[in-house]
Amino acid sequence: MGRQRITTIAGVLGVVLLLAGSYIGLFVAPPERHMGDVARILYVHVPCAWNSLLCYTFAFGFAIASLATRRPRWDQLMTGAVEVGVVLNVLLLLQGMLFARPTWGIWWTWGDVRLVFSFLMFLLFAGVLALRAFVDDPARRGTWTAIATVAAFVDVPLVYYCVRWWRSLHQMQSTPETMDAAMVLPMRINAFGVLFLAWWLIAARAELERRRQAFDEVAEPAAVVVAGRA
Amino acid sequence: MRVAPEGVIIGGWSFVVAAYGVTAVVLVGYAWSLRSRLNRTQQRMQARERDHG
Repeated sequence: MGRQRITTIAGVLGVVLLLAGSYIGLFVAPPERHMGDVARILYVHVPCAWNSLLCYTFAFGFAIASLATRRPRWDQLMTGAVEVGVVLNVLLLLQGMLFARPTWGIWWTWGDVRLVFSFLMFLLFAGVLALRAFVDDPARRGTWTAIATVAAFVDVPLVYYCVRWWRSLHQMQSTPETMDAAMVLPMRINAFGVLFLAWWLIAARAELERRRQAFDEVAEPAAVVVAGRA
Repeated sequence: MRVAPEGVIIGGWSFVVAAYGVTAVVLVGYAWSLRSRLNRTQQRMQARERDHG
C-alpha cells in the first residue's frame, strides 16, 4: 500500500473518530459533577492541546534531522508539523477561553503560567512560519527555520510541566484514574481522531512544500541564465 | 448559564456549542486552504510545463 493511500486512510479515520468522539462527548458522556455540561469542552480542548504539543515535538525532531542530513524531506515535514501545530495551538487557546469564561469567570488572565506559556508557544511557532515566509534563499530558509524551531521548542516542556511547578488557575493534568470511564472514552477517541487528522494535514502540507521547492528548483536555473546574460 | 447554590454550573451549552463550532470551522478551513494551495501549485507547474514544452 502506497504512502499516500495510508495517509488518506489516516485522514478519513481521523474525521470518523473525531465525529464519533464528539458525539459521545456531547450526548452520551455524563455532565461533570461541578462543571456540568461545560466540561464537554474538554473533550476537544485536551486532544487539541496534546496533539499541538505532539506536532511541535515532531517538528523539533524533523528540524534536528534536517540540520543533520540536509535532506529536503525533513524540512518539508518540519514545515508541515509546525503549521499544523500552530493551527491546533490556535484552537486550544480559543477553546480554553470558551472553557475559562463559565468556569473561572474570566476569558483570559496574564496571571496564569499555563495560559501565558501556551500563548508564547503560539507566538514562537507563528514566528517560525513568518521567518520562513520572509527568507527567499531555499538553503538559508531551511537552516534558519530549523534553528528557530529548535529554539521555539524550549517552551513546549514548559507548557506541559508548568501546571505542576506553579499552581494557579489552570488545573493539573487529569489521568484515567481521576476520571470516570465514561469521560475517558470520548477524550481518547478524540485524541486519536485529532492525531490521525494531524498526520494527514502534516503530510498534505509537506507535499505542498515539496511541490513549491520543485517549482523553485526548476525556476532557479532559468533565473541564473537570465542573470548571466544580463 | 447560572451557578446552583452547591457550586454546580448549570447550563453553559452556548459555550460548548461555540467551542465545537470553532473547532469544526478552523479544521475544515485549514484543510480547505491546504487543498486550494496544493491545487494552485499544481496549476502553476502545469502552466509552466505548457509554456516551456
